[in-house]
Amino acid sequence: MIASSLKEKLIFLTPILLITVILYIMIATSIYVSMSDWRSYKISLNFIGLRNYIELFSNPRFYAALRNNIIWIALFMVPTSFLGLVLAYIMVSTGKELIFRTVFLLPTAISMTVAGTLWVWMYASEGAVNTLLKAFNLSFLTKPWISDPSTALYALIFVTIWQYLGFAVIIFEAAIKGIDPSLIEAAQIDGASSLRIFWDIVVPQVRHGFLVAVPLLALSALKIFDIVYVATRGGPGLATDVLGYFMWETAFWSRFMADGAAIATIIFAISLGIVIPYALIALRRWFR
Amino acid sequence: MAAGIIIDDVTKVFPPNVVALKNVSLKIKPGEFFVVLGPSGSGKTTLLRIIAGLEVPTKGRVIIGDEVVVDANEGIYVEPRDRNIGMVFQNWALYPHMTAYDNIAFPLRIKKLPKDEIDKRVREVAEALEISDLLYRKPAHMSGGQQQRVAVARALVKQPNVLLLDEPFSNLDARIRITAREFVRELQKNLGITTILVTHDQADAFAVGDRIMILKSGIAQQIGPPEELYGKPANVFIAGFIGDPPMNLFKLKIDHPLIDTLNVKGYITKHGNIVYVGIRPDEAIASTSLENAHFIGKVILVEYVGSRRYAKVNILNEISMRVLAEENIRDGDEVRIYVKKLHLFNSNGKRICTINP
Repeated sequence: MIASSLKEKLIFLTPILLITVILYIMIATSIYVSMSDWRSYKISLNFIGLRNYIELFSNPRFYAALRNNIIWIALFMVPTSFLGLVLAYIMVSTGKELIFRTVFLLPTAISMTVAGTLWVWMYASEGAVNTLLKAFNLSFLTKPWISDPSTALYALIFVTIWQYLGFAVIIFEAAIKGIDPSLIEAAQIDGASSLRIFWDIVVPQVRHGFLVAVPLLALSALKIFDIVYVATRGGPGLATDVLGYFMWETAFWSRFMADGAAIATIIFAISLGIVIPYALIALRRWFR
Repeated sequence: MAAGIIIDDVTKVFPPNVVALKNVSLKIKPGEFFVVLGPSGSGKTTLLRIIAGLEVPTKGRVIIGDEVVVDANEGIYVEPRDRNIGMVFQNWALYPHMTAYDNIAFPLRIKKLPKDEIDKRVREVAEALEISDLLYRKPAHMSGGQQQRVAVARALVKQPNVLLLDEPFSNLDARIRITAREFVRELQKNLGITTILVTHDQADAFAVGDRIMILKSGIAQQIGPPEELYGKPANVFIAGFIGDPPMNLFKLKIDHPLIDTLNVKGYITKHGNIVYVGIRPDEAIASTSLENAHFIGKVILVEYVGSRRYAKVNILNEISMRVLAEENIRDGDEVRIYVKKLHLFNSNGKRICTINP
């Protein structure tokens, strides 16, 4: 019966529709709050237009945080996805999948907060990193990693690479396993070395892996908060300040809800800039 | 330069204890078009992969030309890339992100040949395979037959000593198959390259092979030219496998009336109590008027296979067999059957002899 099938479809779709509607209502509410004058414990929702945004754009801290996020996206996305691919290739071609998976998934499995705390200890002046450097006679390389403004951001970016590698490895492992083995065998008979097979056969065939990994990693870089909160609180100075942390501090510490909502909306807008092209490309491939 | 191939007592066991090949030995002559024929799971693809170097035998060795390319006992193993072979996979394994030109040029670029030499060779081989106008297309924009020729071109462009073909026709539809078979056979004769083709289709094997080896469950059943396999099958498996429509095979006790009627008792007395009698449908005929008929029977069914007409007839009340049928025969007719040739096998299925009764 067509009628009952439609009813069944509605029953299954309703929860998702409900959640999606609530989600969009919340986003809309946020955007409204960003254009209100809510600046204290007491709710105040008088519409004031784009004044909060204008103030935000003349705040140097906003640009510092934005710059850090952009650096984060650039330095985090590329090494993580590429290293993930290389590791996945080594993993699949040597067959030692179990070991690789365990080693690389462990960091991904622990929460960012725990990872942050772990690395704060490792980055301490007498922590694991410096101790190791000294052991290899590289004392001149030791630094106060997260208290030095010139190294702090990069130290934290490294932690996120460390943590998200497993994620990239999993994505590329699936992509590599999707490659027809006879392609690899044909290349072997044609005389290709492992390196050549990697560049000329594997990389072109896992393009869809990049399509998945890169936007997801970029979005993660945009949402960074926990590690900054746990490790540096945005310091020293503004060296590790990111939009996520800036937003939290503005909204939940200074209680400037409206301004916090404005930053949140900006983050949302930037995310759209990543998600929309991705969705368009993916849809185009699907419908080809 | 065509090379001969020696397969010396090759055995392949996959863990835990799957025997894919058992003591297979054969010698392939330089320039020969050799076919390995067998049903699924017979080990034929495994044998091809061992020759290519994609698998390693558990025991035995393979010699291509003068070189021992693998020896399980001595621990010798030459990589596929150093064996100077060309291989065409069942699904052609063309690199999907490259044009036909780049696919064919790939092995030459790896050898770091100069650009104009590469161009010359690619165009030559494309011309020979009649795919010159497809060179800048990607595999996804070609038909199955075209993709296959690109795959063959890629295999041949490095002028290998040996060409390996893994079920090259199974992905082609029936009409293209016939042209493709002729094409490959002619090409092989012109180039004179030693070729090994693996297939489960006996029509393919008979169309192209100089000699055929039949494999069953990893054991070589018979090796010989097509006529020999057809006319003197070494056992009942081969007899039933080769020939379309399949041979009529009867497992009978030696006192069965069929044996007396055909007057073959003399040939089988020393071979036990059970005998297999095989009669090819093409080697017996049903007619409404026949002088020296062996049997009288009733037609159950008339059918066409290709352009030939066959009748399924019941004889001696319990035996039904398929034979050639004359034009005028219809369902239900009473017919007289003459057997031109028959094959006898002992109780183990091994060939005793072939006679014209």
